[in-house]
Amino acid sequence: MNKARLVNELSTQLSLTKNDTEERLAHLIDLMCQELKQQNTIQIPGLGQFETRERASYVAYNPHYKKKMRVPPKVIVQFTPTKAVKEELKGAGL
Amino acid sequence: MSKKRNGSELIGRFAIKAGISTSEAKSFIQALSEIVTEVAISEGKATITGFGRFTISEVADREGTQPGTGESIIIPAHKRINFTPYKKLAEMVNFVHEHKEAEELNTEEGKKPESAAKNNGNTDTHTSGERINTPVPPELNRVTKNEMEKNNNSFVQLLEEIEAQTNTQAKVKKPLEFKPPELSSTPATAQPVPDAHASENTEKEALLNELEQLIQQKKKPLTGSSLDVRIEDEEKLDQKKIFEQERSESAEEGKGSKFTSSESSLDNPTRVNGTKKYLPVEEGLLKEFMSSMDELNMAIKSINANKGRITSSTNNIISFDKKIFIPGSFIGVMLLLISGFLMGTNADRIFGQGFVERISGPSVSSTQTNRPTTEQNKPISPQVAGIMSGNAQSSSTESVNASDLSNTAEERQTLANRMENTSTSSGSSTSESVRFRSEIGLYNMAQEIYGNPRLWVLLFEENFSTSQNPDDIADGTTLTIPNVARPGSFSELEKERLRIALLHVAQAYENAGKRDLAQSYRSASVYYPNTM
Repeated sequence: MNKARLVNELSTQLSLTKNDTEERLAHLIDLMCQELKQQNTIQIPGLGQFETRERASYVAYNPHYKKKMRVPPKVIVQFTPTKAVKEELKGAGL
Repeated sequence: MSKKRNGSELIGRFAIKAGISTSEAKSFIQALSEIVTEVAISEGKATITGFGRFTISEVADREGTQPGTGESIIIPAHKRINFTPYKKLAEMVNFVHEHKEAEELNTEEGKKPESAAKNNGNTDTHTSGERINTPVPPELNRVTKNEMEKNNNSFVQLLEEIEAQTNTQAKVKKPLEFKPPELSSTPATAQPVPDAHASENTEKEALLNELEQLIQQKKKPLTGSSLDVRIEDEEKLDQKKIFEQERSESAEEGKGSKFTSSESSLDNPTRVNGTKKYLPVEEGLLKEFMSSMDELNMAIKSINANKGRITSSTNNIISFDKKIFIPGSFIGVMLLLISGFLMGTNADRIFGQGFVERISGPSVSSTQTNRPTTEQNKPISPQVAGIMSGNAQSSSTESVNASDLSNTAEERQTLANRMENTSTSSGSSTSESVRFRSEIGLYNMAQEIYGNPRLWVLLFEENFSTSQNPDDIADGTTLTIPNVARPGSFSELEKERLRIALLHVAQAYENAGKRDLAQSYRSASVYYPNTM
């Protein structure tokens, strides 16, 4: 799914012009990125929760070069889906 | 500092940002969530360009433990939705650790010098005898002897007899000439079975000995030089290990001592010719022996041809190494000294001020004045305040209330005074101090002090000049803690101070030769203070 298709579907569902939809989407994405950058947790209704979390450094082993590497700590984005999304996933079957 | 934006809060912010009503914003977000979930489940993947990608993965059955009861249960197969942030978002979020790279852990470093020293010792014991006694590589003699040992003990006795004889005999004209292998058609009566077996063995032996010779030849030019250990590359070390193994193996056979220098002193071409002379005496056995020897001879010749190339090339490498090694290191040391001198004297003028000023204008010139080490600190106070307030206003692009502005103007003035007090009178104020603990680092210390690890730059800016490497601070250094408001409620001036601190750290990294890092802190100084 690319951006054009997303905008298309949103505009039909909300009966908005494509330009409007695109602008709103850009604002929303920018807002979410800014919040995450500030290490804030954001909850998006119907989708889930995004939060930043610090992953500690760890020692990894490269079996090809037979070397141990220390991987530095990293701040990552963690996504937790809402219950509704989880239920839908269950319903989708395997 | 991190806050939680729940659904309605996010919707509210989105509505303000996009200039739409709250209900519109709500329906927009809901529609987006629906579409993303739907597409992700039906197609296994959904992308929001500029934000991230949702993918569905399948999880197989697995065994788990029931929390609480401790029973082991089977968690049934299910689907899981994963989120992968866009590269740019991931980088933005991770900007604190952006510069850190995975580093190799050296666990076997301690072992290396030991083995090298061991090998070095061996080179001395092995070459000393041979270098003097044998001008020609004595593989052939060696092989004949070994072969005999393998074949039959009687051969050893024979050889000893021969040796005893040849010591008194005159030398013979042609060395190392054997008869063609027609003898194989008439097997020796004494021992037909070990013959075939022996020829196999002899080939192996020849190869082993060949290797031994190779190694010893290689060692020769190295012995007695102080560069031995350094020049020996890994390949050679490996060969030496093999050599050691061979030695121990042969020692197990009870003939190990023959491999060492005592043997080499005995071996000479003339002695092999002695065996030829002795032919009529033990004809059957010797013919048998010679048939296998013929094969051996061929093998050795082919190996010799190869070896010639190998040894000559390695010798070249070694001599080349020696030549460049000494002048190379010497020049390296000289360069280091010169660059160190240059850095000490002119670095500040060349890289420091001019460089930073070009990048971020007047705000950094105030950093320079805040430094306790700077000479001129009296006439700046009004200038600093002026620059800072001007800068702060220009940087506050977000809409700020009028009342806020008037408040921050006052705050700015007081803070400017406070900052100057702490920096010029160097700790005469009531600011606290703490000892630096290298085991947790500045980053985690800032977490303890301010509740936000990213404010370590403030600690660094307060206590160190730009010539200090931020990653290499001595343990136990006393640090003055700069007073700032609680993170999240920074005044404009404190934001400015954070910006200055970030640039200060960037400069310190620049001086420490970590250009990438400097760049990332410089870019962080643009947006990060506004988030506080």
